[in-house]
Amino acid sequence: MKAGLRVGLMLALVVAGIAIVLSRLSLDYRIDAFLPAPESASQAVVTDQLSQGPGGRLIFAAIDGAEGGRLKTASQALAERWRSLDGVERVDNGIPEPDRASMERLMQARFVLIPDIESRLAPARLRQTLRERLSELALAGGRAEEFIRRDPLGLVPEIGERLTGPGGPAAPGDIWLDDDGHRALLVVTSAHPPFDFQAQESLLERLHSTFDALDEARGLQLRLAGAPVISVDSANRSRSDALRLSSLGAGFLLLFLLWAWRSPLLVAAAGLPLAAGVLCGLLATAALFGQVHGLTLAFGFTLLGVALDYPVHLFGHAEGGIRSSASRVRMPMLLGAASTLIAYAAIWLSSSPGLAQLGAFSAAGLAGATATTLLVLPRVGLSPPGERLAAWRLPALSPWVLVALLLLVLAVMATRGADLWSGDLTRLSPVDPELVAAERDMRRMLNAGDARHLLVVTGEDREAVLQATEHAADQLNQAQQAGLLADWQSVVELVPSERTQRRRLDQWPAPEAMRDLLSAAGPSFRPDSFEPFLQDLEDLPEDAPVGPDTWQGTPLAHRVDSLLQPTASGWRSILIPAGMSDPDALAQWLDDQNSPARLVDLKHIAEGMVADYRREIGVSLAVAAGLILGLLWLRLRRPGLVVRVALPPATAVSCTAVVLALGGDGLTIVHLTGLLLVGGIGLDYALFVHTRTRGASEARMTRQAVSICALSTGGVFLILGISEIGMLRMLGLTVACGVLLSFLFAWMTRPPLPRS
Amino acid sequence: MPAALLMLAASIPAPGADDDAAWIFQRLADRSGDSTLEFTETRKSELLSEPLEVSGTLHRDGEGNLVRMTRSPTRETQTLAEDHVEVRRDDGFRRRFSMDRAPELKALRSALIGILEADRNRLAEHFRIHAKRGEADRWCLRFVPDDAALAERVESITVHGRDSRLVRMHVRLADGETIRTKLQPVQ
Repeated sequence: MKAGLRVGLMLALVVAGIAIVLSRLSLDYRIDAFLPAPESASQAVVTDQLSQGPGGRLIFAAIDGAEGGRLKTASQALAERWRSLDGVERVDNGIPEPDRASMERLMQARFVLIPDIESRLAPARLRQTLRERLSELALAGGRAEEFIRRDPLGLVPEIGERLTGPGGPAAPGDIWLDDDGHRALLVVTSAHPPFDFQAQESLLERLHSTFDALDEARGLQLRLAGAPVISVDSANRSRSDALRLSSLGAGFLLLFLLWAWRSPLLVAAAGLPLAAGVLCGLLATAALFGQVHGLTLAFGFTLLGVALDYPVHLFGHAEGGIRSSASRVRMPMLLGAASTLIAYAAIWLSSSPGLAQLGAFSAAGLAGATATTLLVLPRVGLSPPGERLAAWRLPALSPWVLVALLLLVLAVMATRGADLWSGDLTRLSPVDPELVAAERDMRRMLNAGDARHLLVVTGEDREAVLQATEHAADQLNQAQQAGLLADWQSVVELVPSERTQRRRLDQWPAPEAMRDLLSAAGPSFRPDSFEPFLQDLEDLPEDAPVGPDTWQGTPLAHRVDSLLQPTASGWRSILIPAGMSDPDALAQWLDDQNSPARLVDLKHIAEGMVADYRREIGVSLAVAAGLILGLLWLRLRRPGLVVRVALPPATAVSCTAVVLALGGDGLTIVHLTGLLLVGGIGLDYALFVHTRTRGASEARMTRQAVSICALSTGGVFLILGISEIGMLRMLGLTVACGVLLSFLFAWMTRPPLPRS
Repeated sequence: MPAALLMLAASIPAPGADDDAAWIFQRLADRSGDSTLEFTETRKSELLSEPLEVSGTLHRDGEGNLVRMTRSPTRETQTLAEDHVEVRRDDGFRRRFSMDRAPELKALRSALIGILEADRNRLAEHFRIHAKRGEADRWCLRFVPDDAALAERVESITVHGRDSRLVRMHVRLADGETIRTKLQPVQ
């Protein structure tokens, strides 16, 4: 059949087009694209940390299944293999790795990295130090000789020890074991940013396969934990559930439409506007942004769900042929599409790149879908379907009931205020509580800090920030003694301020004086034993030799970069606290001391950002709603009609919002997306019901079409609503409930048929 | 034929050598009292103008480790465990390093623990034992490491004693250096 061929060909072309565009476009999965642009320094820290902070890149590993020696050999062998993997920045297992590059730089920088120089050179202390070197000679023999020549004061081991990753529980220099001694612990720092699921997933797989292939690990078990593990697990679960439910939903839709129209050709043709919409959306996104975010595709597809209704209306009013149907449905359909476009355009203007992309995708997609429905489908040569749904009657309702309901709901919303909203982002994705507990456990055992709190110091330039950080570090020393925190990591251990470096350089005596001091303190040493050390002292430069660049090319570079960063208004340094008994108490104490360091609670700030964000979107949508009302008035002319058209969707959206907010734990941004879709669909129903029920037969057609729309959309989203994944469930329930209410409200307030 | 006979003769332990070993270990087993010893260890170094002297006491702890509590050059407690050495000082300093980095300590620990426990079989697991009994109850035990990696660093350990007492110990390193230790019971 000619029509069939045409439909088939067009579908094939569009799908091919989609495939081509998708393959050319790079797909992005980084969630931070959906974060709002930061507005304060604290918010900037949060977005930075979320997108590339070290906390999100730590993978904790535990090996068990053996005791003592076997655990140790396994841990050492594994650490070595893992270090050679791509994507692994460093591996700590308690035994400091003999990293040539770092040790050499430490040796070169030792004179300015070490504090308390004058006290070290006091005769009694110097004597003790050299006696300790004698002890090392006794234990390690000839091997210790070269180190002692170059570093008789033992500066490098001391600095190295202070830098060893998170503090381990066991004696320094031995592999980390858990509290019972049954498991060996390792910490892997991933080179990939926290939300790069694909890279993290492939890294986790490689960590596991390396372990499985290791001889020393035969019969032992490996357990991985940490933010990358949690997010990969969460993403996989979401993906598999989403796939399963979308397939179910799509299957339901196909079957239902087949039953309603009894024509596979019509069902296939109905898919054309949606497919064309996706293609237009992709092309627009590609043209405007150059890439497509994975979430844009997912949510965009959802928002285009309103485009599924268009062919239903077209076929529903096609008694006299599809061409004539097109002219009949044109007005309400265009009006509905234009209104929804306004709302999507409002999202396009959002400050987050991800949401802007979503708005653009959906707007372009909707335009394409509408055009296809009105221009392409009528020309394909399809025959209209018969009627399927039995006649039913719904009681008529006065529009004033809706007004009352709307006012009631708005009043509830006004009194509840902020309670309606939930900033809890963890509800959105499925998180295995076992994994979360495992991560918290390991962090505690390894003294790795809690990944939620940071101390931030800002300054105009690098030197100012470093000096302020040193001041803060002094204060933290006191805080430590007061029991407010156990330990911390800061950049000044590796990059002291220039002022401090110059001060330390001044404190070192001239080589001749040093030689005298050494021979007085260690008479048993030959006079020429420490020449290499004295030569290094002689070669010391006048000015500060150490900066962030000193560490480039060593594994310590990334640590420096994550703790010291340029910002839009200067520089920022981060101190990572560990073992805080009471974060609020520490924040208060720092405040009392007028400290340059501020305690930042990432979770708290992130929630604040989401709240700001919601307000921003809320304002945009409110403006959009105003514009939509204006548009309706422009086209419909009669204010009474405008109100009757706007009332059902507005009431449905508000009721759904309140029911879900109060019944659940508050509305999230996913709910908001769903409500937006409900608004668009509801407006469509209302437009058709109020402008296309002028005669009995037209009313019948409208009823048929709108019922099919409601049942199909409601059914699909109800299926999504049974998901365990928070995001999907929220979306599904919101849209299913909203669509049902929209349909009921729209149909129950339909204009009475004119008595003929 | 004569060569084979010669080899056969050489492989038979010389009469009395086995008796010597048995007698020595019997004497060691007879040691009464606690097994804490005073020691003074001397070794040379290129960095030092005079040989380095380490003195203190040594004993076995409950977990089978050899513990040296030194008085000079520093006051330290050195715990020699099977796979690591841990050093502790009064000021809270604590450091651990692997035995693999100090094979001579490993050999010394094995030998001393074996002797203090008079455990001939255990020593025979790690060393070839040569025993010689001299006059007036003096004796000498010589241990040569079996393990090839260890033998690369340590040539032999020789312990001299008299009756049930240990008198001195020499650890000969492959590079020619010798670590000499004088031993005596704690007064």
